[in-house]
Amino acid sequence: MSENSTQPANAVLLAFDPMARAKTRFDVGRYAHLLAILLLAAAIAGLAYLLIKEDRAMQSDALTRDVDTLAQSFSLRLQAMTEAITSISLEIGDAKYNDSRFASTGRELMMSKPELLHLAYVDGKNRVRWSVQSPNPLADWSRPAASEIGAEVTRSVIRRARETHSTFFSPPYQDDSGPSADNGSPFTDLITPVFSDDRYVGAVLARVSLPELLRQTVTPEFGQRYRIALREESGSILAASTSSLAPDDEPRYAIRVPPLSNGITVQASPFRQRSPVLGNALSGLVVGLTLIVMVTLAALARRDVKQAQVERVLRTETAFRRAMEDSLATGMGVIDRNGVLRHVNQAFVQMTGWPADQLLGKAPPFPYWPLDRQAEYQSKLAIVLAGLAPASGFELKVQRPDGSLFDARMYFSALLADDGEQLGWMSAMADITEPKRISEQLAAAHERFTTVLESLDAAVSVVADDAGDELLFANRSYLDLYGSSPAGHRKWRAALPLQAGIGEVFDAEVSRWFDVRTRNVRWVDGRDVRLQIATDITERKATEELVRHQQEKVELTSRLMTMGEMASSLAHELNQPLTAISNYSLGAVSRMKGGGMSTEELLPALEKTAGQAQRAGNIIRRIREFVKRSEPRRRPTEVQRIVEDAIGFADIEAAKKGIVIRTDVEANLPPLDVDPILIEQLLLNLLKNAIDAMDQSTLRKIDLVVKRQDDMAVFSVIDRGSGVSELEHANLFQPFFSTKPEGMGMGLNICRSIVEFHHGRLTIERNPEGGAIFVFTLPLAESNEAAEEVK
Amino acid sequence: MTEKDADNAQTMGVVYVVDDDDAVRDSVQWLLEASRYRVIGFDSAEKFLANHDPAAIAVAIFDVRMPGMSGLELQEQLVSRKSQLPIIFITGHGDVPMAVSTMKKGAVDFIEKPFDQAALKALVERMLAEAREHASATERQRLNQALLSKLTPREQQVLERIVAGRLNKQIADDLGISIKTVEAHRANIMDKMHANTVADLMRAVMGGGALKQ
Repeated sequence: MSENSTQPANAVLLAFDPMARAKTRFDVGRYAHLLAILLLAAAIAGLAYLLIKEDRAMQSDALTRDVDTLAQSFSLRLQAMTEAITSISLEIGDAKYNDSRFASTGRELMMSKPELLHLAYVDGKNRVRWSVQSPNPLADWSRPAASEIGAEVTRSVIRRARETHSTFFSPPYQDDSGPSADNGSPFTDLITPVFSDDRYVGAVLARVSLPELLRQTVTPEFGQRYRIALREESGSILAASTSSLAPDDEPRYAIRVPPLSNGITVQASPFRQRSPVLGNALSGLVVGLTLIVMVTLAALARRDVKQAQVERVLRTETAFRRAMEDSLATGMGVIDRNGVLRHVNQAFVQMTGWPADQLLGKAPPFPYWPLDRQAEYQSKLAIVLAGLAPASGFELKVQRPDGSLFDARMYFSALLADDGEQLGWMSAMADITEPKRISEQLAAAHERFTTVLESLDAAVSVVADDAGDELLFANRSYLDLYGSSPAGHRKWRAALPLQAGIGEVFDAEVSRWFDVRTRNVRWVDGRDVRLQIATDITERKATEELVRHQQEKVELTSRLMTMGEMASSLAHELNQPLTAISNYSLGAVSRMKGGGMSTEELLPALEKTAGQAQRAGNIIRRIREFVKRSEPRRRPTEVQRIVEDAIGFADIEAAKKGIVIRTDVEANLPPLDVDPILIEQLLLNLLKNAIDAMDQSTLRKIDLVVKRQDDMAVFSVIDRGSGVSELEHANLFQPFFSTKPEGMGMGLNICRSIVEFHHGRLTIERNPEGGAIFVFTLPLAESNEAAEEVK
Repeated sequence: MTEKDADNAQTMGVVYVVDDDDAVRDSVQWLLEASRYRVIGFDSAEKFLANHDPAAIAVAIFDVRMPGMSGLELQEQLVSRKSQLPIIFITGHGDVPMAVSTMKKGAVDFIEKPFDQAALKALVERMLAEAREHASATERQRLNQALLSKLTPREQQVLERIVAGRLNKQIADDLGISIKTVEAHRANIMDKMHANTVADLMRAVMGGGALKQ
């Protein structure tokens, strides 16, 4: 998540932060860690203090003990020397010594006591008599024999030894007269009086080097632990085990070394690195652990703070999510991988009406499934659990606890953990009762619309105005005719007069007539498109034609046929008087043959016979009158109108058989002087004959040519049919002759009669292309006297 | 017309002529009377129905074309009245369907105008003979019926069995009577039915229709 997106989210989240909403509340938890750290630190410090203190006390004790031991070592060493010197002095007093003996004894002693640098025997007058020098390299200084002890300090010690009969160590002194600075000074002299029979004869002076004494007495182990020094009473150091100085704050301990002169102490102080605290591994460990603990605690505290923050964020987030989830209008549910319902949100509960505790933990069938659909939903759930739930979800009926149902749509998606492991399925349920009702209404409306549109016999099509290659819409009627091609649409369009929106179009391909209505409309995508509605009017057209034709036929035949019917009727009429005449005559004949027939009897019969003859005559006159009335009713008539009317009907038949009728009418023909109904009938009859004759022909064309020839119009109907044989030619105009199986044999006969009524001629020629040419002539109204009469 | 002619006419029967055309009707009457038939003319079907004698031995000549009730409709009427009257239709030109339909309905024939005198006479004669035969059959039947009605119920039972071809003994067993009684009944039946042989008896019974139960 980027910075930009977190900011607003945080702002929103803040509203859900319980901490932020209660800022004054103090959180003890947050300071507990600090307090714990402080207490621990104090405890550790106290413990350390006590430990150090204890350690110091122990070290002090050890120091005291060690220094006591050291002092004892000094004393022992010095006493041993004192005893050795004392024994020498005693022997001198007994005069057992001479110079050489003194020297050998002295040297012997010096071998074992390196600190003893010089041994001298002085007489009563403090003159040196014997002198022995130590082989120790330090001992290059000497008190030569025969020299006098001049130093007052030494003299006073000698005096005190003489007076008290005791040995004494002289106070320490420096003697820089030696060849080097490090000549073993400062020194102290062990002075032992020599008495010979209670008479003082002299004294033995043993010069002891204090630094060498220190070196010889202090063991290396001791020397490593402590700084050891011999000090004067004044504090100045006489000798030390190390040249470095002990700091003043160091603990130290000093004790007197008894045989040495008053005020000389041996003092020890431990080295710094041997600090009892630092040196102690345990302490180190404790400190280390403490540090670790503290660091850990600090880290914990930091983590805790961080965790608190995280927790707060999480809690805020959770509250936010919970609020979102509860505010959702969608019912959320979670099912585990076994299909058990594990979680539902507020909306789910409100929507279904089932309390959460009656839903959670339930395995299918769920309580909200209607009983009669459980099997169906079980199988749907199986699909979901198989991971095959469609993205568009499932539609289902949900039953509330009160038994009422509503329509819902449920969507399923996999519920994945962070690591991608699938925990179960997330379902979202939406109440679609209202949308479904609306969509059902829409669907119903659409269905009604579609049904109406699809059940229309009219072919409805929409094609884009510009391109025209895309059929945007077509109903079933159109598709049935032309499939999904816009060809039909274009064909109609092309067949219509340019500006006209309405027209009747004949499509030879499907042999249908259409009433085509076209208009530009704005299509749903904003394009200008052309909507065409083509109503199949073939039937109507045929009916119209048929009606018109029949009307004409009725008009014609009511005249032609009435003649026949009248003839039949008149024949019957005529039969009556003829029968009567016959009967009377035969009756009379019979009677006269039988004889005895009076004139009175015969006369009325003969009169009746004559009357019947009169009646017959009257009937025949009526027939003549009728026939006269049936002559053609001529009037000036346009050739074009007759041709168009006749072709209009013949075309239907021709189109069915795939035959084209072409017309070639000479321009500016004057009107015909004919009975139009009869001529139309004549022309139609000839065209139909031509069509019938061309059933088997490959060249499917009929030409109707009209030309002027003098004051007559010459009509030629040219077919490419089977033609007319010689035999047929001879009989063609005979009544009841027909080349057609169901023909009456009256057509051509009537045709010729009609032509002849009009003073024209009907002839047949052979078509050089194959087929026949029927030619007939009709008078033109112009330059025709008969026409003038009619007018 | 002589007395003999009149008697002759009575036995020959009556010819009814129904035609609206006065001249045709009158001339037909003139023609048939020349052949000594007794002719009664009617100028409409309605008048014929109202006035003709159904019991007479007669033949009828109807014009097919008539205003009001046509000849064919008139035939229907007669058929519905169970009349056995033979009919001759006069037509201008007879057509087959009409002929079939009319002939199915009874004794009919057609004659076309104008008439051939001999043909008409022959037709009328044949039709009248048919009518006479029919009339005598009817009379015989009526007589037999009357004779049968004179038999007692027991005699009728016996007669039934005789006609069925059973022997006297069988009849006696059937009816639980003695052969002698059967023979007595038999003699009575023969007597009452004016029959000399069983064959006569059979004819009388068949002609008289079903026996009374």
